[in-house]
Amino acid sequence: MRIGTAYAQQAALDGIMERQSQQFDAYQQLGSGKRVSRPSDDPVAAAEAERIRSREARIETEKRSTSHVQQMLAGADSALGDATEVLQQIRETLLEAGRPVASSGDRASYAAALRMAREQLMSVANRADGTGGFIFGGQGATGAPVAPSGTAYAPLAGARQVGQELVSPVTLDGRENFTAVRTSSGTQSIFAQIDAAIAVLENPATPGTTITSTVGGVIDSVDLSIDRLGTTRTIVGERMQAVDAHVQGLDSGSIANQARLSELVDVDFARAASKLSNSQTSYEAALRSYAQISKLSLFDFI
Amino acid sequence: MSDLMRIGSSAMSAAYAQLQTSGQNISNANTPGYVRREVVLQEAGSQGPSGYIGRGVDAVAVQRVYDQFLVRESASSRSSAAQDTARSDGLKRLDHLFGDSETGIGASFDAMVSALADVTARPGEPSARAAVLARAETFASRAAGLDARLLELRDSAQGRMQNEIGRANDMLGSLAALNQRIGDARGASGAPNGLLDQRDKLLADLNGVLKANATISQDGTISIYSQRGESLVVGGKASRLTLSGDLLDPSRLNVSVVRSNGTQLRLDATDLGGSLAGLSRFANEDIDAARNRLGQLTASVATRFNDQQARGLDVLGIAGRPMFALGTPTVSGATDNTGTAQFSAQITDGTALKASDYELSFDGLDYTFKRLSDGVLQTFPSMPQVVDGLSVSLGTGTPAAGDRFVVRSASAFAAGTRALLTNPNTLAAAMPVASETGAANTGDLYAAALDLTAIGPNTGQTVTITFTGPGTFDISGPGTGNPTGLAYTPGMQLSYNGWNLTLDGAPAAGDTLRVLATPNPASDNRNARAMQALGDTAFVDGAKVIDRYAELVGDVGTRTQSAGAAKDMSMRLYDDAERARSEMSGVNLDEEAARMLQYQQAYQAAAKVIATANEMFRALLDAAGR
Repeated sequence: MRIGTAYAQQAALDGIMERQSQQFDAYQQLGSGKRVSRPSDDPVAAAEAERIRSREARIETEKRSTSHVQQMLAGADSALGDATEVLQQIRETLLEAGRPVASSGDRASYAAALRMAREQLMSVANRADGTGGFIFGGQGATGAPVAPSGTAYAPLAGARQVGQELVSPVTLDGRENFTAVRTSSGTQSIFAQIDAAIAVLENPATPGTTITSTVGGVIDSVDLSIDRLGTTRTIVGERMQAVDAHVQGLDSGSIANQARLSELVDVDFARAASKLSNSQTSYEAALRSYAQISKLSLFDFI
Repeated sequence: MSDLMRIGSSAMSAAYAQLQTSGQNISNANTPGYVRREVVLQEAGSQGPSGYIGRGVDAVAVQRVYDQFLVRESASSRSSAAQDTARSDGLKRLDHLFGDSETGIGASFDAMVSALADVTARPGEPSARAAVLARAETFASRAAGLDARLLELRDSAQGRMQNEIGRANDMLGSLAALNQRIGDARGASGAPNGLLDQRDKLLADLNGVLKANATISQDGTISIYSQRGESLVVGGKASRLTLSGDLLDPSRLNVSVVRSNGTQLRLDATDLGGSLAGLSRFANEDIDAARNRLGQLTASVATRFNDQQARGLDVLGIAGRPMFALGTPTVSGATDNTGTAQFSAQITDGTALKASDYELSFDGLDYTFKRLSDGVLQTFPSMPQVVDGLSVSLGTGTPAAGDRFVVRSASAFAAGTRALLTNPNTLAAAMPVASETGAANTGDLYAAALDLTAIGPNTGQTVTITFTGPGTFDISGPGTGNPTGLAYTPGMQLSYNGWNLTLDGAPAAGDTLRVLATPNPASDNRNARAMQALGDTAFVDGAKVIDRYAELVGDVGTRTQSAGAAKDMSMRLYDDAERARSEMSGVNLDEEAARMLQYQQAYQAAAKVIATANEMFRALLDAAGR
């Protein structure tokens, strides 16, 4: 078989170029750490990687929402705790004030103590959530949700919700917890109840029997409110647990995504390194043999 | 003695011709298209006085060492290689546009969804709303930008087609001129080897641009035809190729042959061959496919978000204005239409759009829509009609039978994508209606869901549901007709004034539930949540945004990969053919060196023959002179 010299030279040169470009590819893969840097490198992997990237973005979003929810729920839990504590104090004060032996001077000071406690409770009910809203903001409040009277609730009753995969309330309902607590005979405002107790205690003319019966009734109401807040707190606690579990689920989903993404697009370093060294060897071999063979010519011998 | 002299001198001149030919071969070892030559020797025979000795040797011709089948195979495989290379090179540039996932359309859509989640968490925060608008802007500009890149790629491919046509016309002209000279040279002594080499090379080069077959005629000229048999060169006459806009769709360029009478004959792209076929396929099919998918995706996102925005209220309680503007669909008639009809098109359902444009044709009776992506036909007896979420109507004029129109749907959208909102307050994060249970309820009636399909005149009117017993209720309020005594089942849905309400729980007599205008739109997040949910809703013709985008990426990757594989394969075939051709016709320098030695020796030997004859002659003269 005869060979065209020009063709042979070109073929040898093409071979060198080919090996050089293989070497460059291997080098680039190692340098970028990516096996798939363009869709054509592996179309199926590139498409799946796009879905995983999106899923990962969604997890990040959900985690941010969830962290907001956690913050809001923690605020709600502590507000509920504070409100319960204030109500316990009020209950104790009422127990003292309701004793038949209490003097009218004592009663006035109990009334003053109750006023202060009521203010505390009101401030808990209207506590800001730190993000421009209110813990007991219902479906969304632009100002203090509970009116100073303690009987009117400004926002719509209910809760604002956040999240896509785990939908979670981030506000509490001030109506069912303060202004219209359900009783067996309808609803009552805990503030109005406290106000009723203060009114009888502040009036020196109130007969002792009236005080005992009124204060006794208010104590029942406070107990009911404490129960109500306790129930709400239990619900918040359960919600917090659900959110924690959701976060764990998101985290493990994220880890699985990272692993799969790496499997799809990242370079296998051992393999890429050996590919690089192989391509270097074959490149060198091509250069060497080209240099040696192209030196040979019959013209040198005649 | 003179016979011997003549034999020697014929051998000398034969060897000299061979040495010259070898020298020519060596000189042209690297000349593209050069076919090595050899001297054809023949014994110069004649009857001598003492029998058949012969009269030396004649160099009868210098001939090219070649095989026309190998030449043809090389030209033909070159046409496939050029076709696959042109398409593959184009696709590689397209592929690059989708290389970085983080700067893609998909990522920008996800970033917008993510910003919406922040609005749902803090609806009162202007910066959260501003982030949504900024990301909507990024999404829109990336979509429009990608479309612009795709169009640039198409323009550059079409520019290259124009260049290639110019080259092909030059080559056709040169081929005709060579034909002429070869025809003229016929009859002169020997074949015009140099001209034949040049013609073969030009024919091979022409095959790099478009597939051309040649037939050789008796007079040595060749006739060149396109794949389909349209004549390109006959004798000394060359046709001209030209690039012109398609009659139906002027943005597509067709290659035509201009005949000697001036008429143009379109060469079908499918069997054009050469780089023209590869470029044409890239510009028309590959780019179109990507642009259509992009357009479909963008239009669905834009219309769906605009729709959701229209169902909401902004910070000031005003119904949401559109977030995105889109390129508008157009209908344009073929330039050879005879009717006067002007059609218009608009999106009726952005979520039903297909990734395709359409050809609309009128046969005198019916209108037929051909979906260009898959050839699906839909025929209607009248206008207007809705096809795949696009409404097409006859504006003015009347169509004539045989008229054709191109309906630019998917390809028209992405280019005009813009984000329209800049004021953070204008994001309609609030739902216009809310529900609330009565404060004095004793049962546990609740609204399991409340959503809005459209804002109507009565949407914000208060509607009250009052239970007259655990299983019956009345409804009162504008737009309801105030029905009474309705039967209750948990999970039932009520729809009035544009909203749908799902009731659940165990109500007691006297329980109420109101649906009313949202009192504080600035602090409501429900429409933002609905928008956020679109991130995982299958609204792009039945698939999620990210799945459609992944499809686009996968499609581009698959096209590029398979075009690359086709190129590798056809380049190998071309290389094999070139190798076979060069094994036959290429110059081998070692061979020529050996031949030179051989011819040199022959030359020297012939000289010796002459010298011997001379000596003998001299000896004869000496003897005679004594």
